[in-house]
Amino acid sequence: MKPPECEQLDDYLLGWLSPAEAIAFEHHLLECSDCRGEQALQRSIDRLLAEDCSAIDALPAGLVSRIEDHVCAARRRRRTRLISFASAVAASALALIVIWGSVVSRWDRAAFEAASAPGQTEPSANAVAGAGSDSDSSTRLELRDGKPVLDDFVVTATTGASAKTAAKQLTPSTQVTLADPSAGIVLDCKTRDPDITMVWIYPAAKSTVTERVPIHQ
Amino acid sequence: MKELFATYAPRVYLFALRLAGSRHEAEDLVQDTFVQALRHQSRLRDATAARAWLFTITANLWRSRLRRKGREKEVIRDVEQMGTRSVPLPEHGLIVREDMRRVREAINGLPKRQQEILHLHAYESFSLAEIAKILGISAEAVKASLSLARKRMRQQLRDLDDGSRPATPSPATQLPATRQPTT
Repeated sequence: MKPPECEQLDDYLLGWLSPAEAIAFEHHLLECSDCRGEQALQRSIDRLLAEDCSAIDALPAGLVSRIEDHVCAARRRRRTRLISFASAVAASALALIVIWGSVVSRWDRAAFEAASAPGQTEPSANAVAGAGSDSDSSTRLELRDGKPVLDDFVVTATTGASAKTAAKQLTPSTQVTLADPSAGIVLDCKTRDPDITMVWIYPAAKSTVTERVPIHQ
Repeated sequence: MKELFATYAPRVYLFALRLAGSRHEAEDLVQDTFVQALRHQSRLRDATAARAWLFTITANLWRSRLRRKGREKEVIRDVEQMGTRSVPLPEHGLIVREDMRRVREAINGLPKRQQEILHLHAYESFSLAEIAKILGISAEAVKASLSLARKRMRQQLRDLDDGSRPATPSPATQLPATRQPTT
């Protein structure tokens, strides 16, 4: 039956004992031949392992080039994946821009075409359209060069009264036509002449410029 | 990465050989280790920790492979009990001395987990904490296994010297080939 101290041999050899415990074990070593034999055997094993370790320092033939090829291939695949991902992102972004651009241009074109539709009443250039009683809901819009004024909103009233000024609001980005005044606010105003109705057309968007023009009456 | 490869590839290969037990699997393991290292090299902040980091990758990859093959339970069960698996350490045309051959044979006669721990301690000089981290076990488990491994190795060598018994684990720790129904 071995003394319990013998169990501490590897702890001692590996440096796991405290200083006091190490000293106590060294005393045991002096008296235990079995432990001294184990200690000698373990020391030769450690020497051989260290020798074996330094002797094995090369990879099998061809393994280096195989590993390098494998790592390079992995690096190329990774690079290709990154490029593909970046291209896909760029293509998606471009597609979104093109789609958005075409939607906006179609929107603008539709509004322009609606404004230029032949079905609209177009009396002679620079004339004030129509006439009607105050109860008539028809509106009049000054024409310029035979086309409805798209960018400028001019309010005129033809009466015998003295000229008045009215606000001319310039909102180039908003288009309001007789056919589609939905982008503006239309306000009928009575005049002295029952045959003439004055129409205020405000763009729904906030106007950027306000200019006063005389009203010829 | 090239420097890492040049410096540590042989050591990683040796450890992979210890884990896998076959040259073919060990080579695959080394390849995958360095591919992983390339992928995650930004995680390596301290160059002095590179060796332990590479060994950890190798051990983790090996465990993943075992899990995929459904062999992890078998390995865990065999931590303390496993038949001999002779690891074909490279010899490179050198004549291996008889005493060296006997030491290798003694290590091969240990249970798998003890072989791995002994390898990391004796061949790579990793500390207990580093070995614990590489293998994903506690430091106390490493300490106990290492102590036991050294005792068993000495016993194996004495047995080899005596020529009385082959280098196999003691019958008490060997798994039965088939489970006998208890009656």
